[in-house]
Amino acid sequence: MKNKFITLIVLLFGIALFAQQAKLNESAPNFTLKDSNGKEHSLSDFKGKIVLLEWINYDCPFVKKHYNSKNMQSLQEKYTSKGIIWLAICSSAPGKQGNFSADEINKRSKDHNAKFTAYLVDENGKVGKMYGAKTTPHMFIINAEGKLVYAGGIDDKATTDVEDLMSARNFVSAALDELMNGKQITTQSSTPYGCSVKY
Amino acid sequence: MIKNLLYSLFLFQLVFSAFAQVKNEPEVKIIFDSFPLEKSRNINAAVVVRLEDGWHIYWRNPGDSGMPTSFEFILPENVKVSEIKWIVPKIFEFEGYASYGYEDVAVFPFNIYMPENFIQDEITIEVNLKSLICKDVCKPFNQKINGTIRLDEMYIASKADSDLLFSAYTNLPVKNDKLKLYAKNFSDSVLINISSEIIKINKIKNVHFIPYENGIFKNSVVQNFTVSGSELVLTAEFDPFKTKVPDTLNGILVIDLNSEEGNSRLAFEVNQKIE
Repeated sequence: MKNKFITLIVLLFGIALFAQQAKLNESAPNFTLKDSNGKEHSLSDFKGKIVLLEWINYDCPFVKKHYNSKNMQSLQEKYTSKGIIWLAICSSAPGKQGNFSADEINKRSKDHNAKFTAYLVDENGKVGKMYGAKTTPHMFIINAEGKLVYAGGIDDKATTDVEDLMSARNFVSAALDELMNGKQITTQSSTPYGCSVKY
Repeated sequence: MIKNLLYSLFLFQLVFSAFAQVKNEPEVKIIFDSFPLEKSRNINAAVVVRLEDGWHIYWRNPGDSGMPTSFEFILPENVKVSEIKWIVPKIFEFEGYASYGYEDVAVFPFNIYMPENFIQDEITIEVNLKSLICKDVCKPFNQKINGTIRLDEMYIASKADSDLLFSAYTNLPVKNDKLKLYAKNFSDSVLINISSEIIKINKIKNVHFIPYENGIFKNSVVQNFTVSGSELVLTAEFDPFKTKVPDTLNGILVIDLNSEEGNSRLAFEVNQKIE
């Protein structure tokens, strides 16, 4: 009897864990994180809106490529002005690269003229692991119905060279444009590239 | 006195900043294997990247993070080179994610070919290396390097270079002529059935499939396998966000054997249709 109970608990725990893993075309797992100003945000707050999650580490050379060139900020500006919620999430653990104080995050975000909706802090990496975030950047798009509809890289040029942005095929803007125009997303997943998330 | 002190401080800062710049920078060079007195038309060579402690550089498929190491050759007229030969990479694990690459001394062998009527007495091979090196942080490592070799005299490589090339060539995956493979899609994975008339399946203590293309299979340190009689079944799980369902299995199979002769490792190139 005792063994059966333990097995049931383990099974339920396993199912709960499994259910928390983000999967394409399924409901995106909810989360609640504080932003760099201490304000809490839950994914469920943005019900009915398209939400983009961008895994970030300002010191990663691949992230620098997209921020120093203003590529990321121009995408943020373009799509947030159209009502899309853009959440930058940092899963760097304390003491690891990319984990900054709130002041430092806000300073860097201001210096970069970042246009995201909020910069969320995920120090224990729970949200990162729930979404399977491997790299910085790693991008996820959630549609207005709350389903995960894109997971992958920002584009197809896995380099740190700014010059490659000119010829890159940007998967994120293609997916967002298709989504906003009510079309099926052509490329729902691509290989993310970048530094490892510093869990 | 103050002037001397300031001058000393200036010198110290100069030396310190120069040291800081070279710290953690890998050494990179082109090495050549020995060849005989008569003009050789095929020379074994390699790009060697010597990394600082704890740093690594990436394989052709970097895995869950990083960047493939790439090489652009600038060659004299009529000289050709083979593609880079990728030796079996090490698997680096971090928080459940895996990357493929090399640490300490990374050797990237290639062949140089010259036509029969080639008349130059020496050649210079230039390589633009584009890579990313990582420890707890990552940084781009791009270098232009060159190596010159005389062709009108016998060349004897140093023992260190010979050893590096020998070790690299013994760690290259080879064409599969020992394993019988069968692969089929099953749920969220590909099952790879392995049997052999040459290798004793029950002596295999570990087996791993490393794909050439990223984004299809889950990168991991451990892949599950079962042995039943004379057959081994390896499970290569798909990435939860796989970019496509493959119709062929392209990559390398790394097999660790534990036999009477001791431990050994075999690596085979795999290009197997998935049923």
